[in-house]
Amino acid sequence: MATSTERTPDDAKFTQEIARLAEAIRDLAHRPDRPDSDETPEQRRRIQRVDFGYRALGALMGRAGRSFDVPVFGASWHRRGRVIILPGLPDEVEFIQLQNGVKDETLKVRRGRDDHDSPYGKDATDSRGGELPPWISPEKFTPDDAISSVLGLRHRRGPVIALGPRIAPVPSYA
Amino acid sequence: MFLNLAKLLEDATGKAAAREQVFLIHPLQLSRWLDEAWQGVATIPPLPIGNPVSSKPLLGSDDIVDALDLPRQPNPPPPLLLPSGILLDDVNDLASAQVAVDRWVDQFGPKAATGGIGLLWHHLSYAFILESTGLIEIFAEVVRRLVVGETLGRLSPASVKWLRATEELFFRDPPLFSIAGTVSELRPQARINRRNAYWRMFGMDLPHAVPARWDGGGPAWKADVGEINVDFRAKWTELLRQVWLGLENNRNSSGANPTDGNYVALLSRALRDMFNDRRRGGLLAREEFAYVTVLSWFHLTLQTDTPIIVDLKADSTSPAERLAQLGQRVGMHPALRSRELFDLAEPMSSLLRAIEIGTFDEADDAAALFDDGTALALEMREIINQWQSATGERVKERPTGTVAPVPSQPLRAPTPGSGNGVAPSAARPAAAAAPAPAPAVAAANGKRA
Repeated sequence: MATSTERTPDDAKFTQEIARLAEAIRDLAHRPDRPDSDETPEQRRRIQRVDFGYRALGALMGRAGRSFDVPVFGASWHRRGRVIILPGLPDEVEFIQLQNGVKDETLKVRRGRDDHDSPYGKDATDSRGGELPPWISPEKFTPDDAISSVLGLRHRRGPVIALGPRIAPVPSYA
Repeated sequence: MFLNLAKLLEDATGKAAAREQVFLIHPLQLSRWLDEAWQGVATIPPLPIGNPVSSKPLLGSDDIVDALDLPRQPNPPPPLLLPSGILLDDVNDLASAQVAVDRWVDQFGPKAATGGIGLLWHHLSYAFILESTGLIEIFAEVVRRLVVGETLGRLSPASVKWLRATEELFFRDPPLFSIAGTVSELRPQARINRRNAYWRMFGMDLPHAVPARWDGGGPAWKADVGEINVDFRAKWTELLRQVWLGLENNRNSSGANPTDGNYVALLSRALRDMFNDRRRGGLLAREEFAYVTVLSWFHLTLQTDTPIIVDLKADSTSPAERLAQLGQRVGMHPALRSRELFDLAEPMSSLLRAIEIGTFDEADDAAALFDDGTALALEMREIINQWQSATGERVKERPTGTVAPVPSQPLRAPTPGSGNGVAPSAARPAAAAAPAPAPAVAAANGKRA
């Protein structure tokens, strides 16, 4: 007759099941991915933009701390040709999104002076001895358009990682 | 705005200690810088990000900045008005650590250092929450003692600069035609004017009385205000409660999830409309700018052991502690929950500003408030904790049993012309809303012991 301390095959199986369940619960608790599979990439993208917008707002309001360390950069039409130069653009920014409520355009950031449509001459140098600012060549926007939003993206679809200024129209270009 | 300036100085030098240079800059430069900062707001890109079509005017009107700023300077230069000339750019070559002090350069305002993007000031709630600690009254007494006698001892040169700038910027008539000039013969007391703005925007008054020394017979500051946002507190608390539900259930993968993004969005829109009703045509924009600026100066003074804090032997580990020490020097007590109020002021201001511009108008966007992967959700936890702790309101607890509904309208409209500084009973959430110090403390707050 089995005593209370001896395990029957059923007990062992039961213990094994408990251990398996405990393991499953632990995995579930530590699962890095969000459990709700209902979320679409578009929703994730939207949440990232809201979060970035909030952090950018905090940065403009003078808040300190790592969350509010949002990179900002300059943007203005170059006086030669239809390109927008982007001083201070972080290196990680690969695309720029321009918007004005009527149209929007996402453009690859160009760097260096060797492209055929580079606004810089072959011998151009930055006045401070640094690298020449990156630039973009918009197709939908012209210098007489007001551009209300200039965003720096890591990839074409996001995430947004840097904030640019409004660009006022320059009617004399038209 | 002085928090912005401090941040620019810190960013320019890469040194946190550079924030304190704000207090060493000449008040003439600081005063000019405020006008330039006001002008810069027009260049802020639309927020919420990526949604320019639906973005709301930042300050109630797209035209308010232009309506009140200075005329454009001639182009090409030279300008007719001197720039503030605070050096915030190209500082890397300078050997001196004090880049912005005793130096006047040809640089206009904050835009020079931010890639052409202007800066924004905190929401009026920042001023309200911070002033609820009693810090203005304590600093007023400190400054008064320092300029009328010798009871607080001798100051270092850096503290003398702070004292001079503080008195000139905030305790005397502002320079003619300055954007910060919100006192006049018609509204002569800055401390009363601020209460008026808080009352209109939040339907709340500060928890402490106007000190008798400055009361001047109690002008009728609640008269003729028109509509006020009496419903703010009920809506705000409900928003926090709903966001907490979302945070609590964010990782639920089974069972019921009471999170309702649509309801959170609805509450956000209600708050947005409430604020924008008070801001129609740019109302309160200039006042908000001026009041937030005053509070940010004193907040910055308390953030670290600045020279004036050290000279007055009030050095400590937190702004609330420093304020308490300062108060002790002049026989005053700050609000009991000052620590929570200091921690709450900036996050609450950010959130209300984001709500005001319509960031959470849609349920999908409001979901960011309780999405654990975002900085926003961390901020929401902080706001909920601090609000609960400061007000004693149990935001995290779910109501059980029958709950008396919170009236969406005041039981009685505010009495026009009550004017004695006492709110009508039904429309006076302030007593509970404010930092909820015990009555004895609230009564003593702002008065000499």
